[in-house]
Amino acid sequence: MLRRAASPAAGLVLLLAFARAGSAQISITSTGGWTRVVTAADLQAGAGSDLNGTYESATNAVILAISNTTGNGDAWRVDARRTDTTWHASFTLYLKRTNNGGGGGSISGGTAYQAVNAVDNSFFSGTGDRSNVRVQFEITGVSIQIPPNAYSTTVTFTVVDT
Amino acid sequence: MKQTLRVLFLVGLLGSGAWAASNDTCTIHYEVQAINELNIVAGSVTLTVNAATAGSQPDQASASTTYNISNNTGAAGASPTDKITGAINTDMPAGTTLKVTAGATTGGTSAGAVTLTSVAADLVTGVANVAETGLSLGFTLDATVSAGVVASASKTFTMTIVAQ
Repeated sequence: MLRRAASPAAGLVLLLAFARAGSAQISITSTGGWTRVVTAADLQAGAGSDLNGTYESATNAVILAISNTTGNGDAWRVDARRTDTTWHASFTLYLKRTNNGGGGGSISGGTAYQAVNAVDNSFFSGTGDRSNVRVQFEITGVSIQIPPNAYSTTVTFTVVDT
Repeated sequence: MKQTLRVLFLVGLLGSGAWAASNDTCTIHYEVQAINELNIVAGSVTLTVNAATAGSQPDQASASTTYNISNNTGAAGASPTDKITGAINTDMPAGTTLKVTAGATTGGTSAGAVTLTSVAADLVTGVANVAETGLSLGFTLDATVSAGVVASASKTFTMTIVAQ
């Protein structure tokens, strides 16, 4: 009698792998900027007085929009940094968020002036797509000691998926 | 014989691991223009020569006021700085001499008593990045007897900030 050798138990291993579809990148857009010319009209009290030291932009100098999130629960953070072209060491640039913008998620932080430095610093955070977030700038350190010149810096806003 | 088939499901999620970020920029343009503001406080001064000591030329007349200045175009410690010049619109009558002494700005140098003519003369040099009020401005009028009687008249005195 022939014995059929027992077959080893057959196993079937299925490896199912899902690649994150599309790897859609959260993106941020910035529109606007700020230009300010300081003249003799900015003297505190005419001849003999110093220049006003602090200047503010409009409350909507820049409009930010965050898009391509995966939904209202997708958390992100916006950082800000400054890259100087021609700048004066006495100047300090500040920014703040002046509204909540629109969207189904959330937004928090960034409503008080904070200095814009040469390295990324957290500005505000939120979840989901967010539009029409208004940004205001302030510059301090202006005085009669500042040589006449055109000064310029670039502010970079970076959105980080968190 | 019964064979069993085992099926093992492994479900894995592959991802990039790093979460993407994007950025955008805006530009801040800031300009500080040249500021040269100078104000003489008094709108006018009056100088009257009307007395003398017998045997001497008439007594000098004097009057004073002050001036204010805001200036950002002279780089302190660098060359060139700015200076303040002064002139009157037309020369004084013969036999009369009008002089002005302007107080120096901080870091600047007063030229002392300067005879005023229709040609601008240096009053203060080395003016750089100052915002000051109440700087002295003194005028004197001398008349010799050869001038005779000079009817009341006026001159326009102009102070100007210029590059040195």
